[in-house]
Amino acid sequence: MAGDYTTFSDGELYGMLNVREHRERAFAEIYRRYGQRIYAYCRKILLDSRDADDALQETFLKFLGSVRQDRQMTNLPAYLLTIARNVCMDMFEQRRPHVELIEDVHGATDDRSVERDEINSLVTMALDLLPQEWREAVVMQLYANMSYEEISAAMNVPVTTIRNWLCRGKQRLREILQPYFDERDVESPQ
Amino acid sequence: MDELTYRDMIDLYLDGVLPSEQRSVLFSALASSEELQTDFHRALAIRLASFHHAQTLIPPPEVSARILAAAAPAAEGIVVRLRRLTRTATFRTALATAAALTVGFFVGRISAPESVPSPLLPTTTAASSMQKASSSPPQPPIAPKAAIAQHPRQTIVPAPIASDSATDNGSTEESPLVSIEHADAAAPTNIPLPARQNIFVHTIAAPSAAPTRRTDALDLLLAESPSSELALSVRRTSTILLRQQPLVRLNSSSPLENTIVSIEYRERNVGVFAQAGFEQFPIYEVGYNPDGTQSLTLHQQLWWVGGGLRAYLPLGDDNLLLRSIRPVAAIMLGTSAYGVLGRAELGVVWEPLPHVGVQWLLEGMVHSHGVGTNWEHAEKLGGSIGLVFRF
Repeated sequence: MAGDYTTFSDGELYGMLNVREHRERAFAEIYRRYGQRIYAYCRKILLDSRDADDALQETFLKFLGSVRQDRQMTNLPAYLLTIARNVCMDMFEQRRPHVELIEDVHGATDDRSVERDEINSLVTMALDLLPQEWREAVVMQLYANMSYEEISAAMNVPVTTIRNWLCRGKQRLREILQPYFDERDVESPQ
Repeated sequence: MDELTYRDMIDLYLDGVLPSEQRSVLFSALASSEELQTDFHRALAIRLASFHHAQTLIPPPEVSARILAAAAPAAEGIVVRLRRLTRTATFRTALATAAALTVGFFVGRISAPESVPSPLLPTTTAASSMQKASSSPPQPPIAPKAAIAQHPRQTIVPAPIASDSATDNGSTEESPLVSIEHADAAAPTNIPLPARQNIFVHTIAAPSAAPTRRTDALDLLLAESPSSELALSVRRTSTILLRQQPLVRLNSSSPLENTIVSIEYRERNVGVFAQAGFEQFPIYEVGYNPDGTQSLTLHQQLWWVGGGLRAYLPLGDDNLLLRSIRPVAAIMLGTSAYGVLGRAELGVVWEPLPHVGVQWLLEGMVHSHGVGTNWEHAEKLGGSIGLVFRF
C-alpha cells in the first residue's frame, strides 16, 4: 500500500487506529483533516489561545484513548466535535471566560482585511451575548465549518432545531452589530 | 421554523441549503427591498469575516507535535501495549489454544490407562514358553474378564513375541523391547500387523504369528481403524498475514465474524468436506465506472463456501498426548460473492474424547476476483482453532 493516507475515508482511518503499524499515520491524517477546525471551535468557545491549545490536545488524546475495535465510526468530525465540546464545557466551568477583544491579526494589509478583523472582533464579543446553544451552533458552523448534520450529531439535537438556532443566532448577531454597520455605512456610503 | 421569513432565507441561502424554488422568491424580495439588501450584505460580511478569521486559527506547531506524538508507538507505555495485545484476536486465539491444550492434557491424564498388570503383558518368559510350545499355533493372550473390567480402556497387546535368542540362551531377563528387535531379525517375512486399536474400545487383538514394525506408509494410512464417521467442526480464525490489503480492523461486533463451519465425511484417513466461512479478508472488487475507468471497491469481509479433501495421518503411539493427535492436511476450492478462492490447510486434530476433538489449523487462502482479464488476487495466511464433533 502506498503511504498516501489521504485517500482513505474517515471510517477506514478510524479502523486503522487499532492497527499498530497504521496507527500513527492514520491519526496524523485525522488530525490534518480536523485539527484546525476543532482548534478554531475551541478558540471561539474558550476565547483564550492557551486554553484552546489545552482543549485541542485533550480532545485528541481523549479521542485516541476512546478508539475501540468494535465501534462503527460514521461521523468522525461530529464525534471529535462532541469530545471538544465536552472538554470546552469542562474548562468553561472551571473558570469564567474573558473576552479577547483583540484577536490575532494576520496579514492585515488592506482596508478590507482590516474591516474583516474589526467585524470579527465584534462578532466574537456578540457571540458571548447569544444563548449558549445558539452560540455553539453558530461557532461550529462559522469557525469549525461544520454542516447542519455534523452539528446536529455533535449537539445531539434534530437538524431542524440546528437550522432554527443558526438562523436565530445569526440574525441576533446582525442585530447586535447593527450600530457598527450603521456607523460604517454612514462613514463610507456605497 | 415552519414558515421561513426573508431573513431566514438569507441565512439559509448563504449556508447553501435554501431550496431552489425559494431562491427565486428571495431574489424577488431582495430586488424590491433595500432593507433586505442591507441585511443580506451584513450577513455576508459577518460570514466572510468569520470565514477568513477561522483560516487564521491554526494550532501552534508545538501543540500539534505533542498531539501527534501521542499516537507514536514509543509513547505507549507497557501497560497500554499489554492492554492492546490482549485485545487482539491472535492473542485470544493463542490463549484459547493454550487453555484447550491444558484442559485436554489433564483430561487425557485422567482417561489414561493405568499401569498394566502382568497377565496383560506378554513377558519374555511367556513368549519363550509359548515359543517352546510350538507344536500348536501361537495363541494371543486372553485377558481375564476381571482384568478388562478393571481396566476398561486398556488395549490388549496383540501377539506374543518369539525370540530365538531368548530361547537359545534361556534368558528370562531380557526386556520385551529387546525381544521385539530379535523377533524382527528372525522373521524376515512381513506379517501384517493387526489394525491399531482405538484405546477407548474393548478389543482383543486378532491372532497373528508375530508382530512387525509398521513401516509401510500405505499400510499406515489404511490401517487406521475409524471406519467412517461424520464430523462437524466450528472454528474461529484470525489473520496472520495479508498480501493485497493491509489488515484493517473492522468495527463489527458480529459473533459470526471470522467463523468457519465445516461438515465432513471421513472414511479411514481421508475425508471429503464442505466448508463455509465468514472472515475478515480485505479485497478490492474490480469494476468499472460509468465513464469506463476502472474502479476498485474495498470489501473488508468475505463470505465463502467450498468443498475439498482432507487427509489425516494415523495417530501416534509414542506417548499419551500424541496418541490422540492426528496431523491433517486439506485442500479446498470455493467461491465468494466476488470471485473464486483456493484454500489449503495444515494442522492437527486432537481427539482425546470419543466424539469431541480440537482442531488447530494453519490456513492459506488465495482469492481471485475481477472482470474479464482484469483480475486482482489477494492472499491471506491465518490460523484457526475450533471444536470437532464426530458422529
